[in-house]
Amino acid sequence: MTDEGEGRWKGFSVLPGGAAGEASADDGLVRAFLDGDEAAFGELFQKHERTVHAIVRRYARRPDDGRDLVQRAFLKAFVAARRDLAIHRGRRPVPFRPWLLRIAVNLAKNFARDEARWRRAPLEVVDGAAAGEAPEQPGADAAMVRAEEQRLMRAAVLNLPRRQREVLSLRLDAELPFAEIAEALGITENNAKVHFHHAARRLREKLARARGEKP
Amino acid sequence: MTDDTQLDPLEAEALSLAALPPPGEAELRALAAAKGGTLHAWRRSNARHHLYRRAAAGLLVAAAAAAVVLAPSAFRKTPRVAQPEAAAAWKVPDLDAIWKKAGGAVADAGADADADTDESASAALFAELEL
Repeated sequence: MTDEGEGRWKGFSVLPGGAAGEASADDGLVRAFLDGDEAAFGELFQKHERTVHAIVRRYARRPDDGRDLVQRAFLKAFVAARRDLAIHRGRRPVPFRPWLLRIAVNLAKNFARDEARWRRAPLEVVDGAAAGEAPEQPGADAAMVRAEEQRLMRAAVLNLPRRQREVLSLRLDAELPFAEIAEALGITENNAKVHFHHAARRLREKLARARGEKP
Repeated sequence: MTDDTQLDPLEAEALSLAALPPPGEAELRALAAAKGGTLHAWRRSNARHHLYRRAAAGLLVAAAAAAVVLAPSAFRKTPRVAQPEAAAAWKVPDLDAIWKKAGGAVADAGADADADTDESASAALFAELEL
């Protein structure tokens, strides 16, 4: 980049992965939607729905729960954006995606707390039951052991300390970079990495114990 | 996941076991309905929001109008009311004494007035008789 170019872009903060550009695009779409442009809503929703769904589906007992959580996350994010624009008279950009992710994490956490008395059935079991799949096939024992270990590990994720669970879920389910996880949770990137590694270590210990190995 | 390369094999396996499978058909079907549901819920929320804002604006206008009407009477200077001590110290004036004191003057003035009237009336009568 030339000196002239550097000078021209001095006022902008460029985040890795073009996050600044995406944030700016989101800001424009949010403002357009709040001004009544429903096409902007469609674009925003399409852009983020998979990520939000990936975050909340671990806590959803049924597909409808996942859908409700996605709806509520978007709704709350739009209400927050409307309030923020009103308070600051639209002078500052709306960090829509970090808000949306944080709201999704909190909603999922609250949902899990409220539903704690229910024993969760993994969604693929529900899907499989609905499709009438028959698990009888060669290597069924190995598949059963693996299914049991999956159940154990998924339950272990839900029993992790809150911050570790949030970081792991955002990393594992939503596949977000640590920088974005940190922004969504309001922690530093290093802190997010530390929580992730603590969580991975706990899961490893749990798995080793289940297999009768030394953790 | 770039930083996950630092995981040991058992950690990586634990994470792969903990990972959820891709969304099934039922989930995708449910998710497809989420967009319309969110938009519908937003419209309702927006309508409620505007209703509250209008109600709040109406209340403000009503409060301002009430203030305009009530402010003059609230800020008007009220006449001083006699203090209870002053009222208790007040005595009925002695009317007889006042009467006696003023009586002589009143009686003299009255007598003069009567005399003037009688004299002028007599003079008028005489003038009439002479005609």
